Amino acid sequence: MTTSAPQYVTTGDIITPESGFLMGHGTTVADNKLIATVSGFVERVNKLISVRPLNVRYGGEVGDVVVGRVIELADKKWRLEVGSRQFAVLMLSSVHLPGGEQRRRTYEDALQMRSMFAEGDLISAEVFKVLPEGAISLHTRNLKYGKLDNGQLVTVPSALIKRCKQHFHTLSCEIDVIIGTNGFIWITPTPESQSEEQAKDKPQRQEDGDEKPKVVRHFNALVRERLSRVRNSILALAQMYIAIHSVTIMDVYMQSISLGLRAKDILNPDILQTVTQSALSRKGEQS
Amino acid sequence: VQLGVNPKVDGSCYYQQGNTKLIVTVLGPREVKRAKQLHDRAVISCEYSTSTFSASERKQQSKSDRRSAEKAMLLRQAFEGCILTHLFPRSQVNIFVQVIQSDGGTLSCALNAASLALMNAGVPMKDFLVSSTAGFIDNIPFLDLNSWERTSDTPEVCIAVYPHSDKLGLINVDHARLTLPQLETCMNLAVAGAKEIHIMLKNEVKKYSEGILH
Repeated sequence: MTTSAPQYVTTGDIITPESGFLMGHGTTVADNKLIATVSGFVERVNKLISVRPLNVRYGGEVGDVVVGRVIELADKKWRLEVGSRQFAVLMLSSVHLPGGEQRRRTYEDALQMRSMFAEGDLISAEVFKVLPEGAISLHTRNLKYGKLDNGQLVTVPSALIKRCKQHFHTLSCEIDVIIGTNGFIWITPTPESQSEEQAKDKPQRQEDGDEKPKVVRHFNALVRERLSRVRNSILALAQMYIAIHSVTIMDVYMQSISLGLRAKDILNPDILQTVTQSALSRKGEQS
Repeated sequence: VQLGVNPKVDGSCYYQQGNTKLIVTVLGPREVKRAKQLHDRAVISCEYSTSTFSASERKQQSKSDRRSAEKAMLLRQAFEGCILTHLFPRSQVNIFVQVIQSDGGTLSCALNAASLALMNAGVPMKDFLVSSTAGFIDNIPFLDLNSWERTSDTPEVCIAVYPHSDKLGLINVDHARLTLPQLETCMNLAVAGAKEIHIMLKNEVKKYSEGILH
């Protein structure tokens, strides 16, 4: 159901005096009337009314792909910063063991947690549960999730990321993008050779049970320029409050090339409007 | 009023009322240390900081001296009643007030700015808490006293009200030498002033959001 103009409410406003509606996010009932608790645009889906503010912390739903940074190691779990209201939890039993084994975690595993993910590491994972008090619980029980390296992290408001089928994209400029639903986006140049690809995707073998072999990739200036351009395109979209997905990123990327801009010029406030033009018009088409 | 002045935090607001200017930033709801956690609701913490150049004489004022601490505590109490803290157990919301130029009514402005900053951060609240001050000079009630009017030891009432339910969120009286009827007059005047401010601030918030979406 599309309305002619979305209704904007500020905190405390009465959304509708009629009864019989379900309370969604951002609403509460007082005096038999539905009242907004945040300021934002009203969304109605049949009988469910919710108010979505423009800027809000990542909530977390089952199945979301997120990128997070390890903050601390606790008893048989890692705690990660994902830009949510609490740290996300990654249980030892939810990670992919090196060597791909399926076994019960032993005391030795608990002691060697730091060799898998240490404080400060970036990890891609999937939300498998939302705990009763609001924290999210993650898992990396899939080969595509795990520690991230050889790339760059970009942080954008989570409200700009829509949930879609694919969160792992390979852009046509040979840059891989992991668009975390929490607003943390990981960009890295696409691995070139097949053998490199295999080395990255296979679970890291623990030889002698100690250090993980770390693949350090070297990039030339051209590749780094492309990476910077993608990063700035993402930030440009965030500043103009446009939804971020592979299509819009490439829109800004291609427009910046056709305008003859260097990567660092994209975020210039004077140029921001023109470089995001096609991404903006695409947004206009869809709404 | 300008919302979203600080892109690195969850919510922020620059607020100017007359010659009083301040910036409020809000962080949260976010993770809090285990020792300070509350199992069933969020912890609200406030910090009230005055710049050395804010008053007519340069003065170093630490955040923990009595006046700043009192204002911070009043802010915290007002918002503890306003923010729906039971929605975020084991987390914290931090409100930081920085007074840039002070010309009377700083607590009241801080309250208004904090309301706006919390809205900018998407923190759910019961209602749009707005605040205003009123006082008596020579037995005439005045709305929103500035620093020149305040130095003559005038009683000043600062109230914060929930505009939709007419309930008070905060009431603070300085230099309390008022009779009860005088107090009532001041309160009513301040509430009326706050409601007018509410209408103006509502428009600002709407303008800001629509501006983001062009």
